[in-house]
Amino acid sequence: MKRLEPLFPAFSIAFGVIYIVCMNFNIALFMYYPVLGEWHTSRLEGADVGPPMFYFGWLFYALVGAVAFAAVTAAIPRSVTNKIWPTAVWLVPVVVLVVSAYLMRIWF
Amino acid sequence: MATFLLIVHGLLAVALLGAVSHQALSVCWPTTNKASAWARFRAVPAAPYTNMIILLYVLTAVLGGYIYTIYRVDVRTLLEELSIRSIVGLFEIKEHVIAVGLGLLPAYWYYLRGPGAGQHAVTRKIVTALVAFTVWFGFIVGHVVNNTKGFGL
Repeated sequence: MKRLEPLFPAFSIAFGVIYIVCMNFNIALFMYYPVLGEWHTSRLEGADVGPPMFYFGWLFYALVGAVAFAAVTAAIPRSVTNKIWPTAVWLVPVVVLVVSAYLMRIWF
Repeated sequence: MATFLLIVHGLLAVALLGAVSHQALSVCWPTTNKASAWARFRAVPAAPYTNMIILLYVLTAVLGGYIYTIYRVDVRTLLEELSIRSIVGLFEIKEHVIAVGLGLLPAYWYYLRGPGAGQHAVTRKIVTALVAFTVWFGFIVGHVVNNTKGFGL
């Protein structure tokens, strides 16, 4: 666990970005149909299946992508990441939050 | 059952809100003065709150995720039929804010309790404030959505 701890900031930086990309382009490995109580990897046809939920699929891709990104950054020297992460770790999520609010303007 | 789960979700959120508010003020606006109630609110040791806040955050989000499936069928459909789009939009933003907050938790732990603690003071303050913002935003929007009728929309 100690060896993984320095990768936590990289995970957090990537998570929000991957999530917002998946959300905007609706990239989800699976979706949940709450009316049926079932998980599916492709959209179902028919009026009785109810609306699909992609949220959990976006979160899953964000999780997997952030783990992969953090693993890749393990190869970057600590002296470099120590200069980048302290700012990126809050700046990137702030940008993601602003972008997500902007994308949701269609509802207002 | 949905009402019971919503109440539990709300209680967890209240506990999380209290803890994260104490911690955020303690980190961003620290004091050792305990002369007033307001000062004592800010004078708590911030770091020991971290693990409990992460646990409460994850529990609240997981339960919220389950309730979200009920909302999607029973509530959002109705809101859309009634053309109350602003409430649907607010809830959409909430789900994204909580997702970003969940992703931020490992870094939050890193700068509060992990190897990053004791250095990068500005980062620690902003990350803590961000986590607190996501909790407050989720809490307020959750209540607005739950009380849509009371807003006369």
